Amino acid sequence: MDYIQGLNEENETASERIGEALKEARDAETIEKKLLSLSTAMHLLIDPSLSISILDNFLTEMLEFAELNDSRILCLLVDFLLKASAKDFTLCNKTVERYSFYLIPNKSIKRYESVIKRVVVASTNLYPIVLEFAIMDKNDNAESCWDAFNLLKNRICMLVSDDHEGVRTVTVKFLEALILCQSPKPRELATGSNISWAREANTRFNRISLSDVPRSHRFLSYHKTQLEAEENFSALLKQTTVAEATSQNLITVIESLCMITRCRPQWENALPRVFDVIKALHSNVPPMLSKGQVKFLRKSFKYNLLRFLKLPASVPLQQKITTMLTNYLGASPREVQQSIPPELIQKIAPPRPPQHPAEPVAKRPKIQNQIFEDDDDDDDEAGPSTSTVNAKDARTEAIDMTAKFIMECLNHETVMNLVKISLYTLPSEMPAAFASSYTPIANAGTEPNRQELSELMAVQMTNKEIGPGYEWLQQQRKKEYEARNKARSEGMAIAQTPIHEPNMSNRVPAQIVKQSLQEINTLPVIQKAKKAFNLVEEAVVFDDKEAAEMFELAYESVLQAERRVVAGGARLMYQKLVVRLTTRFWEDCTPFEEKLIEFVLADHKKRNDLALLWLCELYAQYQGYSNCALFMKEMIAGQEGLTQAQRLDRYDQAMCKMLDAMLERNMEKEALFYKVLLETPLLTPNAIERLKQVCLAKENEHGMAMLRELIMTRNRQRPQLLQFLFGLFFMERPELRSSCLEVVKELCYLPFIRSSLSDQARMQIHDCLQESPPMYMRSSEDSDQWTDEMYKNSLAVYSTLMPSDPLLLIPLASVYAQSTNVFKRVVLRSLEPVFRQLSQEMVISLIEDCPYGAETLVARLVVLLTERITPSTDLIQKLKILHDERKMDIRALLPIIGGLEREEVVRLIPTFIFRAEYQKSVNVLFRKLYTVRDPQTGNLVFDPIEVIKEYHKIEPKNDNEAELLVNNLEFLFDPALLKPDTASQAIEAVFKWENVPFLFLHSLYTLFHKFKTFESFVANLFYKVTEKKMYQQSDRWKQAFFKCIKELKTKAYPAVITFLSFEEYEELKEVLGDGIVAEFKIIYSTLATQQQKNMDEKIKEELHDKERENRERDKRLRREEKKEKEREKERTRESGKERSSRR
Amino acid sequence: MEYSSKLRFAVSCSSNMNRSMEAHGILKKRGFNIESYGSGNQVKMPGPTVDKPNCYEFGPTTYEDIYADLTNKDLHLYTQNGLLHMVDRNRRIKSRPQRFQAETREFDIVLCLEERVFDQVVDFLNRSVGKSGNPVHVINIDIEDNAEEATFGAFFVADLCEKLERSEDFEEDIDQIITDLEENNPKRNLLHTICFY
Repeated sequence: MDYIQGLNEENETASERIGEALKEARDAETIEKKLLSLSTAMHLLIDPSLSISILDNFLTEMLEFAELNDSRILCLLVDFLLKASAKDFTLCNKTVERYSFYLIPNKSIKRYESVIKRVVVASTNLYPIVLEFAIMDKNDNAESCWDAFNLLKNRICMLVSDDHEGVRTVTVKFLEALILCQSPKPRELATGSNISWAREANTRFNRISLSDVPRSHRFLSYHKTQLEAEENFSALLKQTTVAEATSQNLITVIESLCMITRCRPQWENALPRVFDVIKALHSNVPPMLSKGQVKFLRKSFKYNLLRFLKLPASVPLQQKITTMLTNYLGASPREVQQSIPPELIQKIAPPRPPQHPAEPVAKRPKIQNQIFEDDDDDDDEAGPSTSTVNAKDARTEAIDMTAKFIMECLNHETVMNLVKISLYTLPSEMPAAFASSYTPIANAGTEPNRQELSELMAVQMTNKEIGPGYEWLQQQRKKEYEARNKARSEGMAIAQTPIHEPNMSNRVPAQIVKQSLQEINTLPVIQKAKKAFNLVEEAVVFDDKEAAEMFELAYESVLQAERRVVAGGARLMYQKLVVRLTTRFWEDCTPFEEKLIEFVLADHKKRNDLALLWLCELYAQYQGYSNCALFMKEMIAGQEGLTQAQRLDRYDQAMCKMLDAMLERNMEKEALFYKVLLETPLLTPNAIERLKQVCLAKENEHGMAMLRELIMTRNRQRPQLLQFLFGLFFMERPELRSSCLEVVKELCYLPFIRSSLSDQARMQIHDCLQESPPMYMRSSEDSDQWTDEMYKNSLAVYSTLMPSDPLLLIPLASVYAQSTNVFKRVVLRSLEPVFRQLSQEMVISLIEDCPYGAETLVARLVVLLTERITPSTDLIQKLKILHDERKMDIRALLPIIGGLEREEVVRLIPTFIFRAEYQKSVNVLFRKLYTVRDPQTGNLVFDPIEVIKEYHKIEPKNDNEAELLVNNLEFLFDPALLKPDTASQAIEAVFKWENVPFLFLHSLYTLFHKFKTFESFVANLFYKVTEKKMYQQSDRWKQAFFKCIKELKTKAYPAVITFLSFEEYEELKEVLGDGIVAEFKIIYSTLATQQQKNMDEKIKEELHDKERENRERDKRLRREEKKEKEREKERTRESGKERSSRR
Repeated sequence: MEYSSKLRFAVSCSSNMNRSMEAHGILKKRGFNIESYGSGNQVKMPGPTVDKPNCYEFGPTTYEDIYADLTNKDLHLYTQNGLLHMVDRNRRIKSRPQRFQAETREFDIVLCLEERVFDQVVDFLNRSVGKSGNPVHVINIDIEDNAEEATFGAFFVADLCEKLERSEDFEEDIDQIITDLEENNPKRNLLHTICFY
């Protein structure tokens, strides 16, 4: 606690001191005093022991001093922000924002270039901090900071060609830091091992590098970062070729390149490339340098090359570097030897004297092997390179090509001629570099000397744009220019390539210039003497064609200026200018619109905003918000101009042109196509037709996705878009219909969309009431008649929405009530799966509000509902009310029959039995009666025995009704529903009635057929009926009796022949046919003697058959004869056996 | 001091004893923001013979210490050859000799009075890890190491500094200024480079 209190006290003291310093700074009268106080406050705030919260508290107060508009105070604040960011990473965002602001030139502040320079220097130091922050802290704050810093980086890279000398110098150092931080660190340096050449790579930018960036980083792209470094490295190399380069810039570039080489010797072949640059510069020193500047340039070359010799990567180039140092830069062999580390010297064997020819041959393979081994090591150390960089720089290759050409041309004659020409063209004053060059006489004319001379001349010829190498270089440069633009468009920060390449051909001797000036001076005098200048006569008025042509050229120029404008930060202004030029100056803007479309599509990813702005401008003109110059002109002339409808048409055509252009190029999946449809103010029907093409394509996922987005976002046009979506259902393509259904299902989950979908669905089914189908429902122009398929497709969406939207049921019923029978059938058939999902509450609500004419729909719904659940009391009551009010078909009561009273059911049964149209429902009726159960008790509501009894109580009024009663017995005695015991009990109960109905006999044979186990039971009951003479009650009884005999056959015959009178017997034979007598005879023979005694005598006589007795007797005799014959055969066999035994 | 409107000059010779101090004195009188240093490993002064110089360490040694040591060794000799007078002048300008490599402050322009010193300073700056990244211009002006040439050279240095100070933007003009001086003074071996802290 004491320690914490002490810490708090210390912070409070520091806060007081900081507050006092800031107060002094505000009260000070001079800038110097303010600077002194602010410096004190700054040092206090960035003290490591001070808490970060205090720094945050005073940060804003410190930055307020920027309002003084003094360059020195701004420089102090720039340094303060840098140190504060180093202390607290989270301040990097604010620092980067401030730096970007301070980079804007401010002429109102004196010596403001010092502020810009300070910002660049601070940004150089800030870069590793920001990169470390981005790597360590992967949150949104770090990402936004990195994005902001990339913008700052882009702006700083542009300063490499600034007018101010100091700004260019510090910008080169910034590029050095960028390249070092964004390139992979060599393995030796990364591992931190103690290597001899690590001292040569000692720089503060080794703190962090590309090697520290993980490959899977969220927003730092390894590939892009390295590629950016490579491009900037190449740009830095090219800075050395600028003819107008100052001494300071040249030296700074050289030093930066050498630093990069020492830190990254293998990366991008840095060492060979930089060595070639040094060699080229040495051969072609810029002519404007003074003697001292040239001398130091050579000192710099010597100094850096000696340091290069300490690098292992320099081993393959040691000989070349040594030659350069000793022959041209004045280094002594001792200096060279001292610079080469001992371990590197051992890798090279010294050359042998020529008198020992065998030894060099023996040494060469060893040297080659060493080089090969070094190459392997180099590959490991260099790290991956993402670009295919040539082994040499393009310019160096061009020089080599020209050098080879010169080498082939050099001979004694050519050299002599060159010497003669040189004597005539010697300058009056020798250049400073001349005195530094020296060629020993002994080396003159040798092969190396000729090679060096060729290279020297090749460098100069390339600078003057002469030679085969330069022609090749132009082609390479063109390709590289395109690649750089592509990389820059992808957001990379790349320094500008020098605009002015060396162009020595433009330089002419001073004398010639003087002569030219003299000649020029004489011309005006002559002209003045001849004719006086007259502005009116000299001015030429453009004709319309020329004016139009100039406008077109200006328009093209504006379009092509996009890159420069964007680099200047005026993108929005540029877009506005282009759009206004395109839309406001001509009656017919078609040519410019087409050019604009082509321009946008050429780089559509970057020009989406331009296209949208153009369409918005046209929409604004259509609405009258935007003033059109042409319109004003027409108003002045008294013309009406374009009407609003015409302006809308213009907007429509422009949008469709853009979409058509993209469709032609198969760009419907690009972002621009999506944005034109989604983000333009109004989506016209013609534009929707373009979307239709995408939706009808084979791969229509993208089109359907766009349609879904449009429906979700365009609220005002949602009904139209939904109609378009629903119209796709009527295309004769099943896969398209499936896609549409998927879209509808997705949209159903959105509450704010579901209501629109329901509205559109209701409108669609309402359209089904029209006499002919609407256009959007027709798959072809010729189909003007309703078909089942059309009805089915129009209900597809409804079937998707109804399960989750109960409100859709009532509208469907309304349309159903008014529709044709064909539509009704389609509804009942196609929507049945949906109807099965409806809840009881939905059905009840429909019953309550049932439209007139939709009763059949209600009936169907109730049937489907009751198939899976038990109807509630409420449903039963409301359906009964509806049935009574609307006089509905009684079949509608079948589903709720369990809720009806017993008396009601008793009254219903005859109705079902006697009405022809209800015959098909009788089965359902009895099934319901036998199976319906009370939902509370679980018991059967109706007793099947009672049902059967009630059925037998029905009295037919005529023969037709009697026949119907008999026919429906089949359903009354359904074995699947009735138990045998139940049936037998019921029929016995009916038999015990005093007045047994004639239907009883029909029931008997029905039971006989339905229940196989009832044979004896039925026969017994029939015997009793016959015995009691019940068939004598009426003709229906007699007919039923005869029918029963016919159905029961042998089961009924004993009773018939026993108890019938002869007259009845004869009547029966007439009904059944004469064939029945034979069957009776068979039965007669089986009767007992007692039963035969009770028979009528005449019947007995008829059935007693003498011939039959005779036949039986004959049969008996024949059987006896057979037996005797068999006995004789046996005897014969026995005697035969005896004879054989004797023999 | 860091944000002063004046240019920050530093002048360096080998031992921070003769040439650099002469220039330091003259420039200080004229109101320049000037410091002086030596770039050698030790402070070397003539001794009784050519092969026996008097050597002192940079850092702990003050001009008072050197003065006392020379007085104790041979008051007459060192008075006669002017060393005591030189040291006496130096101790009135600042307290002790300073080595350039040990300095942590930053300058805008460093003036070296011998090419060997120029090489040492440039090598030091290029090999340093660096802290701030601010640019520094290093200029070489050869001055012989004797009293008379030191005086003449000091005026030349003062002339150069005057032109640089008056310049509206010395970075733009420094090349031209040095080139002009080089044409008028070809023996001064004027060299110019730019390094970074």
